[in-house]
Formats: sequence, C-alpha cells, structure tokens
Amino acid sequence: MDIVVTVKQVPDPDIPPTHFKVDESAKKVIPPAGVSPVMNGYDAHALEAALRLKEQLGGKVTVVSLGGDSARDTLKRAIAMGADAAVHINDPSLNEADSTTTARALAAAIKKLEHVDLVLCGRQASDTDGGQVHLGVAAHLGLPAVSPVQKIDEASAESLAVERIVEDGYQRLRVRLPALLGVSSEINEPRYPPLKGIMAAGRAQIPVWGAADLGLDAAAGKVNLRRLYVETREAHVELIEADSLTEAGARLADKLREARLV
Amino acid sequence: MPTRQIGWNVSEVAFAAMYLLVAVQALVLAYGFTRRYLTWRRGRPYGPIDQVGERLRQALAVAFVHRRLIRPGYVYAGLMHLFIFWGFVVLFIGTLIVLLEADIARPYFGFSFYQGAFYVVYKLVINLFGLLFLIGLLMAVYRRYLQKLPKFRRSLSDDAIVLGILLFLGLTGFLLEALRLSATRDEAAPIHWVAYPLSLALNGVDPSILAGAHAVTWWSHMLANTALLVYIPVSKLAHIVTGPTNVFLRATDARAALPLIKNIEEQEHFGVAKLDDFNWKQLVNFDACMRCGRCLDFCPTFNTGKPLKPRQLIVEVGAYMNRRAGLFAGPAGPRISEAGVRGSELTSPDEPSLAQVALAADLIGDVVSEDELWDCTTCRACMEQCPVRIEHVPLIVEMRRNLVLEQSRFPQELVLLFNNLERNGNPYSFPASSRADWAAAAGVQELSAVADPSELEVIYWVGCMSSFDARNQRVATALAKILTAAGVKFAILGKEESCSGDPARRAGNEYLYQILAQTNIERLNQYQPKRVVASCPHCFNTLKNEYPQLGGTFEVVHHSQLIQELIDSGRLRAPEAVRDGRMAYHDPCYLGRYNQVYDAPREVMNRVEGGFVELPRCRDRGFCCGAGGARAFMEEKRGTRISHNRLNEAIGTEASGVAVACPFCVTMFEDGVRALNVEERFAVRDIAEIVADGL
Repeated sequence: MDIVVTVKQVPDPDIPPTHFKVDESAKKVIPPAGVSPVMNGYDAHALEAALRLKEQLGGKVTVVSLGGDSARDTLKRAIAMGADAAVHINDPSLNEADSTTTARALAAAIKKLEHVDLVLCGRQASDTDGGQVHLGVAAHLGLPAVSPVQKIDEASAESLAVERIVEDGYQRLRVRLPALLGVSSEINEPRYPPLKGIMAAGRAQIPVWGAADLGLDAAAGKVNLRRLYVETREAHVELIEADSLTEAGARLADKLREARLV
Repeated sequence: MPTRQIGWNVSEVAFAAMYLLVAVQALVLAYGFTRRYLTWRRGRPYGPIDQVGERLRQALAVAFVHRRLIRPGYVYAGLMHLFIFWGFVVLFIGTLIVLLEADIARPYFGFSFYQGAFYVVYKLVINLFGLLFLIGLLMAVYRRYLQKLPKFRRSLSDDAIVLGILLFLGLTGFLLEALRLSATRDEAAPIHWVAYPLSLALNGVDPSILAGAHAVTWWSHMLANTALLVYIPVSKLAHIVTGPTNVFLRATDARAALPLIKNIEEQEHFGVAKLDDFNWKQLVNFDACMRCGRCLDFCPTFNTGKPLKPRQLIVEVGAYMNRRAGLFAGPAGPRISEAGVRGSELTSPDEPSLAQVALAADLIGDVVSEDELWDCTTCRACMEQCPVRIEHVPLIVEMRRNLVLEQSRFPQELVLLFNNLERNGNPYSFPASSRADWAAAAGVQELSAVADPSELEVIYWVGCMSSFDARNQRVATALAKILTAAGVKFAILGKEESCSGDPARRAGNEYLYQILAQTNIERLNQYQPKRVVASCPHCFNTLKNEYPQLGGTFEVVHHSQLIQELIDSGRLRAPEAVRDGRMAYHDPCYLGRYNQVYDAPREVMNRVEGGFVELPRCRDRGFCCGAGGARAFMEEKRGTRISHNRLNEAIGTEASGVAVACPFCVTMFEDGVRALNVEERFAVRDIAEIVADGL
C-alpha cells in the first residue's frame, strides 16, 4: 500500500507558553532561544499509522510538507522514523499561505506522485488548530475523507475499517481506497527513530518543489494577519469603606447600579 | 616408625581401575572446560588484557584468601566457603603426596618419606582439614536448606547434588581411615584424631568384616570422586575455574564507565540482541555464577518484588547459552529443573522453567523480558557484592542499547525523555534558554559574562535537576552560598550547559549520549577549567569517568569533597549545627559505589551536625533510591516503591530526617515522605543545604 503523509512543522508545543514572546509590530511569535520547531503531534500519529500499515501490507510511505527551509528537519525526522521518501514544498510565494492555498499545494504535490492508495494527515496542527487543510486536500484530490480517526484495522489493499470520533462515542466505517484520513492522537504512540533511521535521514536527498513545479498561480490566498497580541486582562479592586455593614451594603448596591451591573 | 601400607586391602585390579578412572576424570574435565571455552569464544572480541600481574593478584586473592567472599555481613558464608575450599585443596594435596610416595619416590628413587615425623604431621593436618571440610559442608546445608533465607527459598537439584557428593566424599574418607585403623589395629591410630574415635567404636567387629566394608567404602569413595570430577564442568562447581577466570578478565579501566560504541555513525548493529553480540568476556559472566545470591541482598528490584532479579538473569542466560552451544547445561539447565523451578528466586511456579528458557528462541523477550531490562536502576549493588565480579549492569545496558538504537522498543516515557534531551538539552520541557534563571536570583554569574575565565578556581556544573527543579534549585543556591562564603571564585556554564547525557546513556541511547557529551566537552575545553565541581553524582560520574572516552579530561570533584576540603583548609569556617537530632546519611549510588566517595559526605556531616545516623544498609551495601538508570523518568509500575523501602529503613532509626548528596535522591525522597505522610516530621536535605544553613 502506497501512503502519503502530510506533515507540518510547528513551534514545540511542550514548551510552556510563558517562554514565548510576541512581537506585535512584526506580528510574529518569538520562541525562546535554542528551541527548535518540531513535527506537529497529530502528524506524527498519522506517520506512525502509515508506518504500521506499511509493516503489515508492504508498500511505500512518502511524507510531504509545505514550509520554509527549516521544515526540511521535520521531513528528515519522518525519514528517520521510517518514511521511504519525502517531498518539500518550499516557495517564497507560499509563505503565510492560508488553509485553502496550503491544501491546494499539498494536493498538487500528491497528484504528482506516481501512485497513492491512502493519504494520512493529522486532524489539525497545534499552532493554528484550524483543522481545515486535510479536508481541503481531500476535496482537491476528489477523495473520500474521514476525520478524526482514532483506529484503523482490517486493512487490505482495497479497504480499511476505521473508527471516527463523534460526540459521545465513535462510528465504525469501512472506507474504500483510495481515501484520506484525518488522524487523531488516540490511534497510537509515535515511535522514536532508530539510529539506522537517523543515519539514513542524514544521507537522504529531499527534492524541493516550488509553486511553478506544482502549477500553482502566484497570487495564492494568504493569511492577512491584522494584529497579533497577548490578551491582557485587567482587574481592579476597590474597597468600600463604611462605618457599618448596612451602610457598606448600601454603597456597594449604588456602585453596582452605577456600573449597570444590577 | 609410624606409617601405613599404601594400598592396604586394595587389589591390583582395583589399583589399575583407579588409575584408569583418574585418566577418565582428567579427560572429562579437560573436555568440559574446552567446550565452555569454545562457547565463550563465539562472542565478539574483548581486550586487550592489560595489567596481567594485577589481574592475577586479584584472581588469586579471591580464590585463596577469599577476598570479596569474607566481608561485613558475610562472615558466616565466607568462613563456610573458606572451610570447604581449603578442606578440598588440602585433601587434594594430601592425595598427591601419597601418589608421589607410591608412584614416583619409591619405584624410581627407592626413597620413602611417608613415615615418621612427616607422617605424623601429615595425618594431624589432613584430619584437621577433613574436619573443616565437613563443618563447612554442614554450614552450607544449614544455610541453604534450614536457615530459610528468602533468596534460598527455592533451590535447584544441582545444589543438592553438589553438597551430597562432597559430604559423601568427606564422610567415606574418614570411614575408610577408621576401618583401616581398626582392622589393622594401627598403633599410630591416635594421630588420626578425627577418625580415631570412630575406629575405637569399630574395634569389636570381626576384622574380615572390617576388610570387606573397607573394600566397599574404597570403591564408593573412588566412584564418588569420579562422579564429582565429571560433574564439575557441567554444574555450578565450574566456578572453581570460571570464578577466578571472571575476576581475572574483569573491566579494569575507569571502573564506572560503560563501554563506548566507537564510530557509532558507521555501525550497522548496536548493542546485544543475541548471545553472539556479547563480547566473550561478557559470556564468561554467565558461567561464573554459583548462585550464591549476594547480588540480590541489596538489589532494589529484587527487594521490591520486581521482575528483575540479577541472579535469575545470569542463571537463565547461562542455561540458554550452554543449551544452544549443545552442552548439557548442568542440572541448572533443562533436564532436572523441569519441575517448574525458574532459577531459584521468589517466583511463582507458573513462570516458565529453565527448561523452557533454555529452548527459547530469542534472548530478549523469551529469556530476558523487556520488563527486566527496564527495571534496572544501574545502582551497581549486584556488581559490588558479586564475589566473582560478574558485571551485570553493562550486560543490561548492552541489551537496552539494542532495544533503543536498533529496534526502537522502550517504555513510552523514554520517548519524552529522549525528545526533551534532543530538543532542550534537559529531560524536561523547559527551553535551554531558561537554564540559568535560578542563578540570576541567587547572584551567580555565568561563564559567558566572566571577563577572564582563567581566574576562576572552579566551574560549578549545576546539572539539569538543580537548574530546573524548584526543590533542587535550593541545593544549587545553597552550594553557591557556601562557595561565596569560602571565597571561591566560581561561575556556571548556565545556558551553555546541557544534560551530561547520563540518563540517555543508561537508557541505552548511546547516540544521544555522545551528541550531548561532545557538545559539553567542546564547551568545557573552550574554558579550560582548572576544576569542575558537580552537585549531581550522575553528572560527576559521567564527566569524571566517561568523558575521557570522548576526549574530555577534566578534574572533577563532587560538592561533598569540595566542602570537606574547604572546611579542612579553614577557608570555610566550620558551620554550626542548626538542628536538634541527628539525620541519617544515605549513600547515592553514583557517588558511593561508582566512585568510592563514602567518607567525604560523612566527614561533612560530622563537622557540621556533630554526627549522623548510619543506616543499616550503608556504604557499598547502600540501598538505591530508585532513580538511577533513567528510572527517574519512567513510571514505577511493578512491585513496591524502591524509595519507600529505603525511606522506611531510615524512618525506622532514631534519625530526624535523611541527608543525601544527590538531586535525584532528594526528589525521590521528597516524593516519598509525602506519600508516606511523614513530611512534617522527617526532613530531606542535601548536605549542601545543611552546611549552608549553619553559615
């Protein structure tokens, strides 16, 4: 079974948020020094699911990522974990691409690959938590999509049985291939790469495809960020002074009325 | 002149048979040990064997004067073995003397020495050692079968067979002598002082009956002797040869360092997945064990009911090894233990027997379970106690290496540990940039801010625990206060420091260890420290004993040593005790057993607190807190809690709390006192805090 996994590089979600800073003028989140971005957690679960299917049925696992130069490290990590090949979509025109553009670019790259039985994506990314891209990819590829998926079993070359999380439980579905699944974290525990994989990743040549390679027009949709800031919450304390509790109660009632709270 | 007729009542045929049997014995012995040797040589290369003289001295010291056998806590067991050993040796020499007289001196030189004063002394001595031999054996019977020690709750047939044959030989030896003395009415009978009373009892019996009984006893003694020698190479008695061999071959370089995987990026195969992956010295370990169980006495996993029991691991892999080599694995092996006895540990009968283990397919999984491998805290109690220096911990780490580097199979918690070490240079999710945050508050400067680092006396290696963990930051702050009070010029690496690599290495991730270590070595080399002081014994051990393997040689001391030095030299005025009641001192494994720093922290306790409570399990017999070997980062799901076991021991004394010298111990015990609900009355303090309190 030939599987494509889409992965996104995100800021390390395990670092406590207080260590991040926000540059409001540049509209950028600044991670603490020395902290490298990592593979989105849900994508790691998707990759693990793909590797287990490969171990069971044979075939090939290819990872695709859209991102700047540093996203290469995430693709290498995927190869270290056991992916057979990787494709890096990297083009300045795609910086700050919105979900629609990202989905279109990923779909175009997947179309360029020879043969695909299954596309696995993380259900959402931990930086934006949008959860839009994978469904967009399915739409562009004309594939049936199931998301979020917490279990895959009874896998064959023709179909898979999956469990899709719904409120208060899950649905059990049989999906005919080719298809796209949005994978959730309940499905597995991603593996730590074996040393041979790390070495293979070090040697791996990862092709870089630009917008032109994928036939994307330059005027792609972009996120237009209006303002990035840390919400500040202000609290004031006012002590009411009075000689008696009755008087204090009356004054408090006046205050609340003034503030139109009662 | 007192003597005896050699070969009295023994026919020519019997004599010929005896020599034939001796030849058979020699051949079987040689064959058996050759087979064992060839089994070992299937392992990977090991060596070079340097310091041959020193190695020989140690091997002989273990064998002949029982160094490591007789030691505190093991006087009974040590003397027991000493009696059996020297009884065996002297009786053997006695036999050789008779052979020398009968087969060399008299026929070839017409000379006889087996008479007169020599004969008298000979008989007195032989009787003495024969008696000691029997006493030793009876002590052994008591210890194994009657004393009801937990570690001997189950025994193998092998244990009974060995004791049975030896007892039979000793008793028939004296019986033979008594029968001869009585039948020949030997005038020199009283010098055979052990056999003599027995011969008096036999004096009423008809001499022809005595002669008949003598002949039967002679044959049974002879056959038992043959059985013994044939049995040696296939039983635990092989330790007569393999024990001292193992001592001779032991690792002598930096005793606390794990073996380095050289050129790790070019290797195809990592650690040990099957027997042949061990080096041949490591294979000798499995044949050296005689199942005395000393490895269990201070073992944190055995004593808290976890699957890992070091003796069982060695015995089972040994049975597996010999079975696979086509050797009869001895009754420790498949044939006699089919009653379902697995090793001789506290195991339930439904666990697989040695028979199944020996026929198992895979080393990891079938013979040694992954749970056993991940249980180990690498505390070294087993290695410290083993009389023949079996090196358990490196065996376990080698198998962990394979699981991590090749198979990617290990407890889920370690994924988080490895990812954090890779990304943040510490075991937690704190960014490396926040590593020195505590120092700003404590007024400690980072090296990068020091104008001339060469003026510094020491670099304080803080370690991750004291850099990030709020409780242990107090230890770092206390040590900084002490150094400042003593006028020591120091700084920390701060943001330039990263994990020493110890938890990665002990967890089998040698690659990650080497990356971390190399980064640290480069940083340290850049600053050329005169001296490094570490408050974490794990960092201390790694920097001191393991970084030299990667080209980082530094003078490293532990803070207990530096504090003692500062007090001794008068730079630190002796602090005052601020506490009522004495605290117990707990030996951190990586400070004590790994580096023999037992006295410095005790000295500090004596100076500051005016003494301390010595725990029952102390020094080389100390009991682990449960954190080593990366266990601090794994959940303790099996058995009871190691830290609680240790804490309960300390609480059981009159101590008002426990003093430690390791941040991992601090954390384990702080968690422990809360779980045991004694945090109000039982304190946990690092010695640095104790000293700083008194300044």
